[in-house]
Amino acid sequence: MKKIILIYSLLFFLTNANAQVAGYMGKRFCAGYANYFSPRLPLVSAILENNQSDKGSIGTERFFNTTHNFITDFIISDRVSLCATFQFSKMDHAAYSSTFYASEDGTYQSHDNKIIYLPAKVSPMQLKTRNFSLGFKFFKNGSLNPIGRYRKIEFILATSQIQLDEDGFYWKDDHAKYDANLQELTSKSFVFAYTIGKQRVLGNAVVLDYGLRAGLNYGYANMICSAAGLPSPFSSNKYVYDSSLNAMLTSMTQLRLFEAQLINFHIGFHFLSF
Amino acid sequence: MRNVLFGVFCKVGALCLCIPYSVNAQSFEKNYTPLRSTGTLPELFVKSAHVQTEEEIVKLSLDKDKDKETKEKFIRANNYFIKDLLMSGDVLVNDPLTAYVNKVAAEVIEQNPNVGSQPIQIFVTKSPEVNAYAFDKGIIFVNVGLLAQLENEAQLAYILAHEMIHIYKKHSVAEYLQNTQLKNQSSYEKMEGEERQMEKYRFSKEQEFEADIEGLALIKKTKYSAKAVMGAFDVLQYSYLPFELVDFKKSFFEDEYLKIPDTLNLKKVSAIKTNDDYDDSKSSHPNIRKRRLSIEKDVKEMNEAGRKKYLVSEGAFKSMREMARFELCRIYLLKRDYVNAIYGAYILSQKYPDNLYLKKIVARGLYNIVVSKTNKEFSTSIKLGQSSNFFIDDYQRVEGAPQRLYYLLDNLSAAETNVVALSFVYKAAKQYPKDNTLSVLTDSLFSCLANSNKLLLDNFSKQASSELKDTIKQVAIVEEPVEESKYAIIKKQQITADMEETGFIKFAFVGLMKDDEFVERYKKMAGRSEFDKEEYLSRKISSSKKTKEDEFLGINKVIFMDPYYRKVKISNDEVLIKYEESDERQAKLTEIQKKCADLLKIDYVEISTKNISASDIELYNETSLINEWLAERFKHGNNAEIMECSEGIKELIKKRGTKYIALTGVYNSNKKNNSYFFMLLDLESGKVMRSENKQNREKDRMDLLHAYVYNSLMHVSKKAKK
Repeated sequence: MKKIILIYSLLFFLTNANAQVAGYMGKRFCAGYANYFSPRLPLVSAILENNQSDKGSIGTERFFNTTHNFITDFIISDRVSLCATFQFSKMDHAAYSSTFYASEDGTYQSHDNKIIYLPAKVSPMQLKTRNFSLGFKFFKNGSLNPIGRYRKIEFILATSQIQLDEDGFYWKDDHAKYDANLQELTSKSFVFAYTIGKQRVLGNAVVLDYGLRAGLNYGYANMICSAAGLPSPFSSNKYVYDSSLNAMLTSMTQLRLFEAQLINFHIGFHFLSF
Repeated sequence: MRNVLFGVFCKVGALCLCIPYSVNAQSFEKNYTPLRSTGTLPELFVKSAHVQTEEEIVKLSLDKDKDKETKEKFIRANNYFIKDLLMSGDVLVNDPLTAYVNKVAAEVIEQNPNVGSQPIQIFVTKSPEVNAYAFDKGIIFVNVGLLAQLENEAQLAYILAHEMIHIYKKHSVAEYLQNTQLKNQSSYEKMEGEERQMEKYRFSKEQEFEADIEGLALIKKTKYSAKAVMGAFDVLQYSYLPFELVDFKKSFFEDEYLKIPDTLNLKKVSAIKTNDDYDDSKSSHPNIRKRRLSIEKDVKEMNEAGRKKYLVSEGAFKSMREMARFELCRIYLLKRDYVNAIYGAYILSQKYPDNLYLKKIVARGLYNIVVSKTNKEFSTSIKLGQSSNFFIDDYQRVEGAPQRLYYLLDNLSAAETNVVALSFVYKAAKQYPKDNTLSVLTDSLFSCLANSNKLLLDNFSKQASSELKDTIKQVAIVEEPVEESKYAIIKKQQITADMEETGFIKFAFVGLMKDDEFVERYKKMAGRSEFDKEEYLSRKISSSKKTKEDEFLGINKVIFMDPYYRKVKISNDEVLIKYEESDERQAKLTEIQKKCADLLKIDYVEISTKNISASDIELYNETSLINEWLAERFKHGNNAEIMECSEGIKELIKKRGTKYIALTGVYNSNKKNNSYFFMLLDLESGKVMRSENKQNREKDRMDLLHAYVYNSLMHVSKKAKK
């Protein structure tokens, strides 16, 4: 966090050092809230065997996931803004009752080796993300920052944590306790996002911001590359080949993140401050 | 009783003072002061177009008229157009010309009270066009260009009678209704553009014939000469010619030493070729022959006994016409028609050779031609204004006496024009040493000659060409007895070649170089580059990116004119102006400007005619002055030459305490094709300090407008960071 604050402060200083920018009636800083809606895609289910007869239905029934964004925009030129955003979301990570293919040694072996998650506490399994993004908004020619159509390029550092009941795993065939022995459930990822949006000022005080965002997390890009047999430009391939429960859960995290970032509609209100 | 008597005495006294003043306000021998509006403004100027429109629409709603909707549109368009015209600054109020024209109109109305049942107001407009036009509301505008051309008062009376018929018969609204009906016809869609226009003109031609015939009927009832009336058609036919045809002699620019070669003097000028039976199918008016024929019979039948050319006064007419001619020269200058301005001044200077005003007209005309010719190579197209370059009309397209002046000025090179101009202006400045304009022009011409045309004192001969010829002869005579030495031959050849190469300008200043002041000022100004290319380019109205230092001006007091705001609706290739909404938005934009100026601590000096009162004649004159200045400034394009009205502007700068003027405007259409412009000009130098033009495809929103205005004014007020 310190590093992030340091980077933002440095950018703030560098971009402001020699700028003489009008902003909106002299106000160049705005802070506010935006809600990002991402449509629920059936991607997570694809690697899970959902046994609906076990305990009802698939956990995530909502059509949209929502992400809460706390945004600060700083106008650095007539057509460019520096944006820093803190994103927070909590979404269902897996179904109420999900079946995992796994073996004791952590390697995928056969159809019979199935583990089922039947939690007593955390149901369904949750994925909690805390992201921080830095980006730039580029307003269209003819517009004047912070009003008008813009395009935003964003670099997001996504920190995701799976919340589950470790005692909720059982062998499917005899319902014997399965010792999950889970390791690290927090993963970090990097997302590149591109937004097209529009802003207008209401009552000389509030900025109404709405638009559409498309993003891609590098973990998922990595998976796509591997699946397609392409050399991955991103780190290791541990998400794909390691089919231990731990690895599976982390892979699912990347999928959920991909799902949450792929397409977003957003609407927000920022307050012009100074 | 005493009060009543005193009142009567005052009125009679004022009348006695005003009558001679109104027609003969100034003597033309020494100088001429341009006309200004005086007194109080008529209600027409004070009432807003919106209020006027509402009142007229209420009156209309009382009638059971099937064309009510179309008439409402007409009333609205008409009122806003008239208001714009009245506030353009081109209309004179309570000036001697207007007073005289109204007196002539009164003569016509007196004998035709039915025509005068609707109050008629007549104004003179500062336009060189030979024209007069009327609006159904009872307003007639007569151009200065027409007054300058008239031969007698009867002609003016007939032209006014013609316009009165247009008003009496409500021709404007009839034409509007006719055109609307025409557009609604199914056959209209199938017509070509030209065909549509001709169909519209057919109706307007009928109206013109009616106004000609019935206008004559009005004149019949007066004591004006009918024969003289026919001359009005000559005025119209030859309206493209100057107000008099006086043979131009190049000696006007010459002196003992400056002799313009005969090759630059057009031997024979072309005859006047106009035909009065021209093709009028593409004109709103019938041709002159048809118009003449339409009234000829009636005129012949009229008894001339007891009829006169002048009913008001011949002296007053001639004085008025002279004033119009003086005024016209200035208007030509403002319109950048320099050759016509010089020619007009030339005609008048035959009568008034010592008139300072005329000397200044010629000086400014020549100066501007010099600048245009010198800067020609730098001229580029511009985004604002109409013309970046000044061109002298091809002399072959000019008829009659002025052709010689066109030929001369077109064929003189930049350096030659500079020399001729300097010679003329320097001598004028010597004659009127207290005149600042002539002095400034002289210095600029010195600088231009030395720095741009690269002619220094050494390039001019101190000896007259006749003296040099004598030298050649002497050399020949001295060497005659003996065989001519090669050195003598070389010397002779050098002198002859020199004379041929440099042409007449080499000897132009022989006389002036004997004047120490001339030599000193030349040397001084030679070191000052008035027409430096970089400086010139920096004056360009350009949207190119500037450096940050250029963008911030640190100006804290600015004159703001009424912003321009036009909201339009485009449907079926028709552009409909939303007048009321435009008015509201204009008021909003003014409010935003004030708010932003306040936030940025800019002293907001408002020159607005939006809420002008009858007593605000000074404000009206200031607006007129600024509008004239702006119109001329934009015609100059990239060249920020000295403005014709800069003396008046200097007074304005002093009075208002700032030399910067801001112009703002918005154009908004329902097709989301919007633009915002902002321009800051230096009234003193004509330099464009800041020019912005933003295009967007947004709705007409106030937040964007706030941002635009604040951004513009922030660049005006803040100082560049070092």
